[in-house]
This record gives sequence, structure tokens and C-alpha cells, in this order.
Amino acid sequence: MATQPIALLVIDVQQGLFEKSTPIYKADELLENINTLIGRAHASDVPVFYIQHSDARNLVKGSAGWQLHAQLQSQPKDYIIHKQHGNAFEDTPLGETLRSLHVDTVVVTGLVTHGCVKATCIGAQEAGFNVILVQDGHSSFSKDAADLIEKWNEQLSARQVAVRPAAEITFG
Amino acid sequence: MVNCKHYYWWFGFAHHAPTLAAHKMTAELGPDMLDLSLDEFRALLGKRKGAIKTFLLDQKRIAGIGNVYVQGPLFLARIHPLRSIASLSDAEIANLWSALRETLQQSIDLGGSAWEQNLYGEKGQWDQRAMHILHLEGQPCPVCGTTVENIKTGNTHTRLCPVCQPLNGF
Repeated sequence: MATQPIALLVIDVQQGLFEKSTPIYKADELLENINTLIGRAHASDVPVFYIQHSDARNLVKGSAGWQLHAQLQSQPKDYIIHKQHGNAFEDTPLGETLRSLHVDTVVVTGLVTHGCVKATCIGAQEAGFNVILVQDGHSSFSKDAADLIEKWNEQLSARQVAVRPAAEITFG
Repeated sequence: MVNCKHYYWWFGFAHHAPTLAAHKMTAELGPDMLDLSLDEFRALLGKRKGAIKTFLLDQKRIAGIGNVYVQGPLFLARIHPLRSIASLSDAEIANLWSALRETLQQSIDLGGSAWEQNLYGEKGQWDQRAMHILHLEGQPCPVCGTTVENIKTGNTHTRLCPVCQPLNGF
């Protein structure tokens, strides 16, 4: 069982999203920040959840594009959740699994800012969890990615989501 | 001609009983996998000994999981079918529970497997696209590229990736 009431959620960091015609904005920095948080979580025995999205066209379940990004520093002790909606809590066992681990706060990172990251932050709140969004830990393959990141950092902050840079998030 | 590469078993009975409770075979069934919460699933595994796949296929322990439906979830949860239950971590149990529920519900939603028919003669639509590892024997694992193997596990066979599902765990 988790020793702390907090969990790290890594949303949709899957191969297929890094192979779009418009690349993920600041992909290297994003992966570095996410891996830094994964490393800190592992070191503090904080559960790490990888959320994998699937659909019928772009992220077909089981396909190469559906797989988690190869650079993610996952460990066998990490959790996997499969989803088909933007909100990772919708029609998935994520909420039940978190509650089983006595988690009350989730740290959210991943893809894409104005899609599943936003929806999962709101979904987590609606499910009764405190939410920390990693300010520099989410992105998208939109041409307006920089503006979208800034916009949703602000809008989610206004919804009582704590927005913090990766450097400030420690689990110890 | 008998196709020896892919074979399936069919089970079926037609019994008359006044109530389900009075029907011996039904009364012996364990709880339905789709009704189990994560905590209940953990509790059922408890301090059990033996291999995880054998336990999952025992309908008196948990009802609803057949050999076709167990292989994909074991692959998704990165668990070798012969791993002892006691060796499974909390995360492995949670991932297995999640994958089993997802797989069974998906099959129900699609009307069952593609080689089965309902009472109206309609075929299900749950096919190899949904089954991940089951039809990949001799082909590369979609995660790591290692050749998918087919091993004997008790009375059944299991397709697995020896790298993603190591016998001794990670």
C-alpha cells in the first residue's frame, strides 16, 4: 500500500501522440520533467499511474502507437489504467484504485493540455481528490500549445487546482 | 480436418431447477469477477498459495474467467501465468483486476467472442483485436518485440511474452 496519500498521474504519454505532423510542444522538456517526478515518486514510495487512452482510429488498443512512450522510466510496481474518455476517472477503475490506496491528492502531468489533462483535473476534483497540476508537465501537439498551456494553467488555478512547477513538487 | 493450432472448448448444459440456489453447479460458483471491487479481489487472493492463472480459472473461487479471457489481462498486467499469488505486488494485483474487468466487460459489450453465437444465432464481435497476445504466437510482442511464446500451464495453454511477463517477476 502507498505510504503517502498522494499519487502521480501520467496522462496519455503514448508513442502515437509523439508521431503527429505537429510535434509535441517542448517534448524533451516535458519528458524530462515527467521522468523527474516519476523518479521522485518512486523514491518516496508514491504510487505512479500511467493512463493509456484508446480509440478506434489513432490510438488503437494494442498498437505500437498506443504503447507508453519508450522513454518513460516506469517500473513494474506502477499502475496502469486504460481509458476511452478525456476524463481518466470516467468509466475506469482509477478512482476506486486511488481510494483503495488511501490517496486523497493527485499530481497531474501528461497530454494533452486542453483535452485529457484538463478533463482529468476537473474529473479528479469532482471525484473528491485534491489536484496539483504540474505547470511545466503538460503539453500538446497543437500549434497554439504555448498559449494553451498558459491559458489552462490559469483557468484550472482559478478552479482551485494547485498549479506548481515540477521543480517545486517533492513527495518526501 | 482438425485445426490443431487454434482450438477452443465449448461448455454447455440445460438443467431445470426450481431456483438458482437449488442448482448445485451454480451454487458452487464463486463471486462474479465483474462484481468484485479491488479490495474484494485482493481479499480473495489473500494468502492463497499456488499459481495465479490456476486460481483465476477456478470457477469456485471467481466465476467468469475462461482461458481465452485470462491471457490478455495477464499480459497487460505483465504477470507470468505461473507466478505464485504470494509473489504479486499491490500494483500487479490492481493492474490485473483492472485488466480482467475491462476485458470481460468489453466482450459483454460486443456480444461475446467472434466464434460464438447467442441464442438468436448472432455472432459476437469480440475478436483478436481485443485479445492482444492471444493471436500473436510466434510474432513480435507489441511492447518489446520479443517473440510471443505458447507454453503449457496445467491443462491449458498460455500465450505470453517472456520479457514482459518474466517467470520470476521483476
